[in-house]
Amino acid sequence: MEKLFDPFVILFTAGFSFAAFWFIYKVIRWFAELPASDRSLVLHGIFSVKTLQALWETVSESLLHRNIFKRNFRLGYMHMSLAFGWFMLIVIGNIESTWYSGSMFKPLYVSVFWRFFDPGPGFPEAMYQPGFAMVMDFFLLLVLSGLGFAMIKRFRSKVVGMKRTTRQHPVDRWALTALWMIFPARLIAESMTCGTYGTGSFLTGSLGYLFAHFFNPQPLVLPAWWFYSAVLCAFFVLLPFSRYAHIPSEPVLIFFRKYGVRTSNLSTGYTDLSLHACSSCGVCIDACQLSEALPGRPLQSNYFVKSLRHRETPNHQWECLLCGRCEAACPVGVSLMPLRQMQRPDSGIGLGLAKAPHPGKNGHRVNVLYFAGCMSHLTPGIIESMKDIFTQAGAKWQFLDADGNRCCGRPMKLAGQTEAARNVRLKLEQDIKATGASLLVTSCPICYRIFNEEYELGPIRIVHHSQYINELLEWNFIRISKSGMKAAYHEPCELGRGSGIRKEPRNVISALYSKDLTPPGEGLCCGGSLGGPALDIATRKAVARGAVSQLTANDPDLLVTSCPLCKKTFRPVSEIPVMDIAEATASCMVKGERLAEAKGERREARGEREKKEIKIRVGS
Amino acid sequence: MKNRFGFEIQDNRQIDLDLADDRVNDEVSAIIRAWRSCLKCGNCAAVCPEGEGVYKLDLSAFLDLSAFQKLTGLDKCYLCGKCQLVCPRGIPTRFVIMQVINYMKEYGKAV
Amino acid sequence: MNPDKQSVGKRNTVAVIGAGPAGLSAASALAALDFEVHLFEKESREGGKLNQYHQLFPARESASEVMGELLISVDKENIIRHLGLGVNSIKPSDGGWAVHHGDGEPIRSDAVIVATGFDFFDARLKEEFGYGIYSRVITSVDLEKKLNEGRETLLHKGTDPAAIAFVHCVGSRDEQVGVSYCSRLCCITGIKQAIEMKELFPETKVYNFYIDMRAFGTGYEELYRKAQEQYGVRFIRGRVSEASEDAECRIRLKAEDTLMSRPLKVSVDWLVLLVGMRPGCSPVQTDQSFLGSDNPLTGNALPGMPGVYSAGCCSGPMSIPESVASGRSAAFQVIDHLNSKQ
Repeated sequence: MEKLFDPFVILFTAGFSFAAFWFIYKVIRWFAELPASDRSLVLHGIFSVKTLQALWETVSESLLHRNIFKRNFRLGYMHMSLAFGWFMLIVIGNIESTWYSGSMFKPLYVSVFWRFFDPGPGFPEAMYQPGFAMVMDFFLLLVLSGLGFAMIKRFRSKVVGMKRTTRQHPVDRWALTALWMIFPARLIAESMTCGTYGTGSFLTGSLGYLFAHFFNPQPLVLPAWWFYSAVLCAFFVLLPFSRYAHIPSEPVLIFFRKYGVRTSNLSTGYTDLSLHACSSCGVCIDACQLSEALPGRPLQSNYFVKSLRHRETPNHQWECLLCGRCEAACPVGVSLMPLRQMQRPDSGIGLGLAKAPHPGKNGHRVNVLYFAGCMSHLTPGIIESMKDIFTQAGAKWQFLDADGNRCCGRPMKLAGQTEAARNVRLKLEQDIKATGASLLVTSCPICYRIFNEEYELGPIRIVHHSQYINELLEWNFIRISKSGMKAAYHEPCELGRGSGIRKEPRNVISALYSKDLTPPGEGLCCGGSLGGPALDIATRKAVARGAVSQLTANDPDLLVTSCPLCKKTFRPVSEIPVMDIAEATASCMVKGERLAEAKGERREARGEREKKEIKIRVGS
Repeated sequence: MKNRFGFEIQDNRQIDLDLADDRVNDEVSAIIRAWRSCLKCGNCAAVCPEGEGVYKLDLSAFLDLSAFQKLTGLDKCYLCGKCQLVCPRGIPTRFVIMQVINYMKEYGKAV
Repeated sequence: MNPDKQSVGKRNTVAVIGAGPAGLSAASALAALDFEVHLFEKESREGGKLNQYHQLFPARESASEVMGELLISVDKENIIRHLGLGVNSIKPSDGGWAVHHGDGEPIRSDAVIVATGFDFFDARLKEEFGYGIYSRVITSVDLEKKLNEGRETLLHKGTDPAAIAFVHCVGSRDEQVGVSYCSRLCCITGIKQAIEMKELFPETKVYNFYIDMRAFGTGYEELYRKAQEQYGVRFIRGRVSEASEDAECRIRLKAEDTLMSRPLKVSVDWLVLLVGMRPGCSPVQTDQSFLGSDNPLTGNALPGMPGVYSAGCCSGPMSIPESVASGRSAAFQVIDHLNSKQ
């Protein structure tokens, strides 16, 4: 084999080395900037099965893009063909060049430009001959087909199932141009070579043959390879500054995440990694309901991440509803909600709220503590229904916020005021623990979420009222007579995506109504969220109307939700009745005297169950 | 406050509109147009768990900014959002409160 | 009568859709000029919302007496009443209009007056007041009915109420429920009903919670003053927040007195919600909104529908005298229109 070198390879090598050094530097920095506990998690994880799991996830997501396939087949194909195709070109190219050069240790550029150094088997015999050339041609064709989709997507994104596509930052546009030129440049360069030597497989060989038919490709061979090397160089030089930094970063994110690292205020390493791992694919744009209600405003998560990455203050961040639909849709799994929360500055609002916890009411000991939540007082139907349900179930209960004057603190937190939220939390925590209750039932998912995630309530079990009702039904503590109506369920953001409570409300709906006509797919945001303080009422109503029309797609008789804020937001814009799940239960509930024996039996059973649960909770 | 003769001197309760400091009001209105449409109906105050009212922020803005804190109880706000749910003019009251507090800090008067 | 103009009346048919005050007065005016009037009413009797009232503001006339007068005025042989028959749509036909109803062939008429009226705001949408949840929360319409039924309906276990609160602007001027306009007549209704409560129960405290007092009509401001001075109704500027029920089913209210700039609480026996007026369903349009006009300052012609005129509350909140005047005005615009066509 002649010397495997030509000056044009310098361009590629320089560009690639730049990107490679940048990446190594970044990985070291990401690791170093993790908090000590996360660093040890990573080190412990490296030699565990988690590494294999992470490898598998890298293959299935970074290469095969299974998450995107689930969203839309053509979109998934587009991303997969580019990623997987290019990956296979590199891998097979490496094997090919190793096979033919006889040496595993050679400069990096050799396999990239192999066709230049070794034009390959003769054409047309080799065209149908299985071998490296055919495989390489196949993967090149795969990539080019994906590239075709990508180009169409720029002009008619509906072809790949996207209503809207990302508006690009200038650097990304240059990087995109370089990327788009790489594979056509490779095709042309390889075809020029194949045309000159009469070699190649079905793609490069045919194209080369065509070239040779019209002109002599030989003088164009070297310029073509220079061009190919140049666009590769341009791409790699731009990679660290563009969205394509996700190519090397996403696997690192997958590995760190698998080892247990999570986004937190302290972990700037993981945060910076997350910002680089966002591929700007734009799937979050369609997931965001504000894309319809506020069209043209760049507030979606991909723009948000981009602003942070370029060290700009994100605009429009106070309009984000913090509903989590973007996070649920993100194929890379970037933790968008914590990122957005972290960016909301703690400007010291509410520090005047009394810090010292005051002793709570030490009344009679109760088993069940009911916290309606401040919003529920604006929808008293929910409270009245819960009163009925507690009475019918025979619970010994106390209404903690009967005067409607307690706030759980989460609205403060959503507005970024973490210090004040903590003060509020400590105060209410004391009061809850002082009641001596074993079960805390709340009607508001916002309250539920902070009770569950941040409050330290010891052995007290915390449930949302939909879970409570579900258990009452399971244990026959209340009896219902099934309604003949058909209902659709709206899953509140804070309950479903936020807290993972999805099955219990649907169980209740199925028990109460003859048909559950909830449309499939990810839950929607009602638009009333406290996450977006800057949103005006017209936009919120637009989001609400959009959500209602999607929820009523199967023509239900009524809409059931399990959040007072969702109910209040939906009622004025819905033509069909909107009820809370507690109201639905109370209206189907069979009221009356319960048999004395059954009462005793049930109380015993409940006591046993509660004891068991306390044991489980304390033990966990 | 007694003068040296032992007489009590009342604070001047009269709003001198010519001398009103509208900076906070103007800047908040520039961001949140709807703020100007406040009716002072008091619905916000009626639902507020602390009994304070966003509507007072407008009145108070006429006065010297240093008197702000005494009158408004901004430091008691939980940002719970109930006021926003009942405002008949649909004003994003939580955002108004956040903006006012930020501007007050900017103008050097701690809230 | 001028013989030239007389020919218009004798040969022409006009359909009037809705037999409320506006419809009745329009029908009466047209019949007086010898038109053949087809009066459609979807309910089983005439009168519209007037049937639900007790006394009218500002002079406290009896609603049933006014109703009686209006009915007499339409007791003419050239008014053909179609009671219990709703109109589905009207379509252009042969230079005039075909009125499609639910019972048989459409009736052709040369002109149409739409007097389909309004609906009251559904107070359940302002859930924080507890309408439909607490038994002692009623609307102004419910109160008129109770006043018709008698004093006893307002007692609880035989005792007089100790306090009654009225809340103005329920379902009007409220972006939260999507109604930005003022319904014009709820304030004076609140004043009138407050006086009625004071007359039935002189010892009872009556509070009216308002934002702005809209007492624009003739005699309205005087009634407002009378309510204050003569009857001792307490007017408090401020909104009521959530209502809740105590153990005796009395309603506990939290409110803000904006003039005193202080929060307020009170327990009352009745909470009366002064509900606003919403557009009703009209056969001439698919969405529910108040009907517009070709030339709003001077006439009631519906845009794009020559020969069709609106009368009464279907085009916006109106009082009874305004509806009656509007009906007559529509009638004369019809005559003018048909004359010009000849």
